[in-house]
Amino acid sequence: MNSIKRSQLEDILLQDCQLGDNDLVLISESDCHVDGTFVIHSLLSLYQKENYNICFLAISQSISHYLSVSKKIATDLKPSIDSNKLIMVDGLKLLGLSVVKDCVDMNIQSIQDIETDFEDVFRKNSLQKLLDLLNSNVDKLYSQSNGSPTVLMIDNISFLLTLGISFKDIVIFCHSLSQHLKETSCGTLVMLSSVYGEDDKSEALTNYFKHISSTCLEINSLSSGYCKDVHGELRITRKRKLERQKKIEKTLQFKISDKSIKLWALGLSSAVL
Amino acid sequence: MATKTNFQKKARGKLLQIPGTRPSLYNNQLLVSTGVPSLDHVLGGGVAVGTVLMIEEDVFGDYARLLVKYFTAEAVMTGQPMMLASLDVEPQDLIKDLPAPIIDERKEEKTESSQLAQADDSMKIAWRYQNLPKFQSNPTGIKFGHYYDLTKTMEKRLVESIDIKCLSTTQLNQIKLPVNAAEIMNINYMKLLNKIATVIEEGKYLTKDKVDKRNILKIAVHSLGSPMWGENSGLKLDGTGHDPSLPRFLLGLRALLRSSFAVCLLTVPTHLFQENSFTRQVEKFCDTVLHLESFSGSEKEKNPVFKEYHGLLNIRQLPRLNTMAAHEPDTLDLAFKLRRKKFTIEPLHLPPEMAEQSSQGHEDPLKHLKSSTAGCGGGTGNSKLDF
Repeated sequence: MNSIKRSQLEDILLQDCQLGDNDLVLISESDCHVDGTFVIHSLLSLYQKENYNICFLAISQSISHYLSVSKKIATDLKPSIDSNKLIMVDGLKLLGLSVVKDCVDMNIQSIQDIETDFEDVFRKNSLQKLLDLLNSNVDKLYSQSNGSPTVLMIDNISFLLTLGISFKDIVIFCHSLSQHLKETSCGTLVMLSSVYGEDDKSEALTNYFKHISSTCLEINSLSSGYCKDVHGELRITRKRKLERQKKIEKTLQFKISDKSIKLWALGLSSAVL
Repeated sequence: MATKTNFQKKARGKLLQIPGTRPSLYNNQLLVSTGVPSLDHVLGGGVAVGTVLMIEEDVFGDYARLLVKYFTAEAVMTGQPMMLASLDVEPQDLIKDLPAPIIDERKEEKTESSQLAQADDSMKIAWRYQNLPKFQSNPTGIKFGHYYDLTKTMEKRLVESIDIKCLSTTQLNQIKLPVNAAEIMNINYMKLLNKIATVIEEGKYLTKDKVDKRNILKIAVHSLGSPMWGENSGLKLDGTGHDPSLPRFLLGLRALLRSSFAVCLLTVPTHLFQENSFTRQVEKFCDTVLHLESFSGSEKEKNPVFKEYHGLLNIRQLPRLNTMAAHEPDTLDLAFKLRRKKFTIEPLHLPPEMAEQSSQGHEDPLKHLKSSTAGCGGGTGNSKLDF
């Protein structure tokens, strides 16, 4: 019996996504007017409550942002970090300071005490070092736990595309991560991906991930434009691989507030009723 | 970033007050003013320290240049150090033409009549404070968001009271990158990042630096991404896809700012970028993004709906800092107006509909978005020759 309180979105995710049975969970932002990070925050706190080992790669925001948001939605991540159940990789700082490192002399303090080993990402467009770091983190987490499943979360994979890494390299990167997770700990890869425009590489990348994902959480903006009471639509698609049945689809509308997310069926927002 | 503010609920520890900043009402961020109080209001109080504000320029760039001047003037008025980079316009020219602050004149007449004259009006030592209002509107005397008069220029003495580092073409060319630096992006962006990192380092603006007097470094880059910076409309020189230089620069900039007491204002001429998706990607790499759409030269200039305004302000992105929800402004229909003395941002109000005008029919400002009806001639024309 789980006596820990879960939020509405977490309950929906737990019920509809069947956490333990996923290879790849994709959260996709279908255009630039929506923000899908609230799903990442909810999934992060849900995985923590379900006692998973989590490795989190943050590229779009700094680590302190996620820690602050978690505190607001009432799950503190600090104890998990201390007990080695959660490793947060500050991609923004590591990658950003690698860029700075190539522009300045070495004796600048801001980059001195960070082991920025990721110059190859920008010099050779290679994600090898990042892959090694994430794989070693996953191994570390798994070996220290007593058999709890592992999940690797990435926010936001499309940023790597913008930073100049090729489509092919990103796909190989994700495949390697997914493979490693499956082999070592039957784990899940969770990614946030965005679409920046039609006929853009980001659309091709997101479509590909949607195709190989077992659960897809698609966030769309309202076709009627901006609305203060309804921020967008969340479409949950779950493919059932073994039983050749139709995929399960569910669409909800949501509103993000400072500390919580409200969800309801289409057209039944409290602003309308 | 929560560590950046010293705003504490319980009065434990020293409450550090940095001039020109105030804590946000919505979350515990430390904010600075953009120099235009109406813009601060739209942004939810101001720009958060440690973030990047990107302004997508209007086609002729006048209003973006004006915002850079306001930002610089605000830095002068709050006594904060400033770094101004511009390749299209000489930074010195921008600095020579800052708007003068509006001083409260009320109290000055009263002191003349009083017998106990205070120190004579022209202070010799504390002359910088002469220009600040003589009465204290708030006990600490620190004001946030000053008002400026565009018809007057700020005095040279006042401008020189703060440390402004300029970065023009000649100064940019003098910057030497490390000997074996790989060319990971456009050379000019690398040099700019080099300069910003050295200024932050030398001025001790990092959050981990311990200084007696905490200042916020204000960085303004005018027309970043223009051809003068070597940008090829967002495309690589061989034409194969997007040039990742600008996103890489922004990543490095944000990583630096996240652990510094600094704010950056960038104006970017995104109308020069070849592909809209590139502009969207660049927007995602900044925190707050606004777009200025001026009416000059477009058909909207003659539209009676927009008679009182000079352009529209589109909010492209507002930051989510330490919370899930971004600040929601009251309305998204915002327009800006440049009057003789000041520049303001206002919610767009339609002019009252008069009887004669309604019979002629207002031109729908969004007509160009609707699909055009087939057929030659006439259509919805209101010409007197229609029959």
